[in-house]
Amino acid sequence: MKLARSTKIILTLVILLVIVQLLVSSRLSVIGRNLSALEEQHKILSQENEIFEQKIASNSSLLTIRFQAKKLGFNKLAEVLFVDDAFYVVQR
Amino acid sequence: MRRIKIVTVLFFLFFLLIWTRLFYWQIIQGKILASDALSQYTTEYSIYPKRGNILTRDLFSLVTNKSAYLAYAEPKKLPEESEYITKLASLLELEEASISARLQIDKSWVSIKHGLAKDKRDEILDLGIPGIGFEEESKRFYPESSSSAHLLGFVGKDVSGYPAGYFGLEGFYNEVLGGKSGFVRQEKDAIGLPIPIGRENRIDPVDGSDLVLNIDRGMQQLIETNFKKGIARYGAKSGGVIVIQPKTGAILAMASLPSYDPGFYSQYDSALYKNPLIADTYEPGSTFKILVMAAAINEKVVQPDTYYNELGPVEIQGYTIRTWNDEYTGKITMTQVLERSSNVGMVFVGEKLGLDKFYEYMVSYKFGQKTGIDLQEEVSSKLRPKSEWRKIDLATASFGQGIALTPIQLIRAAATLANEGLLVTPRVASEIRFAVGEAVKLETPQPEQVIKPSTAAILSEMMVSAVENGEARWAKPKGFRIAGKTGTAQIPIAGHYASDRTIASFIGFAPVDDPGFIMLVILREPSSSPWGSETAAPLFFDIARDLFAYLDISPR
Repeated sequence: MKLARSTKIILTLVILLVIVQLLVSSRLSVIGRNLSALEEQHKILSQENEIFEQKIASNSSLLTIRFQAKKLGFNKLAEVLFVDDAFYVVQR
Repeated sequence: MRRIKIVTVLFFLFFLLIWTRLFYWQIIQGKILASDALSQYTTEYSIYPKRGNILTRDLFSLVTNKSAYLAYAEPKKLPEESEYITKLASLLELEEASISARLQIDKSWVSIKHGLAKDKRDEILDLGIPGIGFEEESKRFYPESSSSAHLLGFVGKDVSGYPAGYFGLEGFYNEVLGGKSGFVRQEKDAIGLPIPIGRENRIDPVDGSDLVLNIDRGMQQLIETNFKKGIARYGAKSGGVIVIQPKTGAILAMASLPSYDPGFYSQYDSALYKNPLIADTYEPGSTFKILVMAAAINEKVVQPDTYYNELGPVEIQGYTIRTWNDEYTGKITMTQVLERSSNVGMVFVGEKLGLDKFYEYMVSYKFGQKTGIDLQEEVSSKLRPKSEWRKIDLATASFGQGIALTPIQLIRAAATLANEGLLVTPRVASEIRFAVGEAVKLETPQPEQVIKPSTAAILSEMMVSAVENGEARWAKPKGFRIAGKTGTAQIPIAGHYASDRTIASFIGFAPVDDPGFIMLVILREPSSSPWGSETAAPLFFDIARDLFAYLDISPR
């Protein structure tokens, strides 16, 4: 039995479309997983950034600086001396 | 023929039954079924916005966010044996009995503990207890720790369980800092993963804006440290310090004690939540004299060199008014009235001014109204109607008794003396920085002229003299021109003044020629001495010494 040319074209197209649909579906299912993974990664990275921001804030806080300075032997000046700019002498 | 009719009727009834059933499922139950189906192939969740940070003027985060977790249990999925409770209680630092009681509740979901750190969550996850889960939640983080809790307020939950700011800046700027929640509904596949080409409804969250403050981090830390020491040194029950830039009304630092930890606010008495510097009124005592004297000089009813003959106590409507030490030195000038903080001298000034003018100035200083500071819990006592004022009320008010103000009202009014007579609105925040990158400067109302610039200059000099020759002169830093006034107010209890309980205070600004700051120090019931000149004044000068060094202000 010989098929008409148009029937052959239609059959080929149907087969092609089925293959394309299978390919697209399988790809989309992977994309969904990738999308989820990306969202999860974004969340983890955001959390890590937040933790780094906290560490920067903690380490640069005046409380920490004061504590570190004390540990390194710095002390608060008991008396501040001012240089008198008119006579260039030290004034208590 | 008859059989055909019966079959037709049966068919008709059969189809009617089917139509009825279809009507029931599609029309009556349609919405419910559609919703059930939707929940099977879609996923819905809210996206919470990131709450804005609170930054000091050098853009350091005074308050930021950190991730925390809520531990919850699904009691029906929990193991039969109760061994896990001991492990859980130890990791969560809770009583075993408390956890056990929670888990026996007949509910499908119960919360166990809020605010868990990530490492703690991971430790519990490692135990692999079925039915124990975690939900992410945001928690406020305070890098400077600090006693500025009264300034900041805290973040709790509203009636719907969403984060909401209460008190202080968190309360006042809750909408700005809070942002808006987002929502996502998307189609999911059989294993729950999103379908990228499926239908999706998404409303993106709007993150909260950052708030930039006028608060100077160094100054805040400096006053907190000094004030803590001062409270301990003078044995005061409570107190506070406010530092303002007199020309702009910018609040540079503010601290009060006792305070609380805003990160664990629920562990403290709720009476501690409100900021006493804006939410508690007190009788200002002698610090109020500078405002009455300014009004009298502005009205030209007295001059700094006007004499008053201080001969003894003054009798008004059956009440006897004395000086604080019951000593009377004869002829004294108005400058000396402030130096010696003479109550009877101020009664003379009050009488010269008269009730009408006195009241007019009280209204001009905006007493009886809120200052408009951007902190949530501000209050103001009402100014009594003028018709209710008796002669004795004017007399006592002229030296700061019988009139109630909040500390912020007093310092705002006193700032006119350091700002050419202009009354400014105190502001804690200066700028809002939106998450999209734009920034908006916060406008402040136009200052109002209350007294003439020349009056302000005269009063400044009189206050310098009060510092140089007053009771607190021993504590003053040498070489600096500081304008100031001590105050010792007795505390009214059940219609009488308690003789042994006082509120000691000192208000002052420096350097006088170009004031960089005005500061009010208040100590409630100091035990080392009841007098402002022996407690609040030396503490003021201690803080001022550090402020001079910090602000690069040199002695003259």
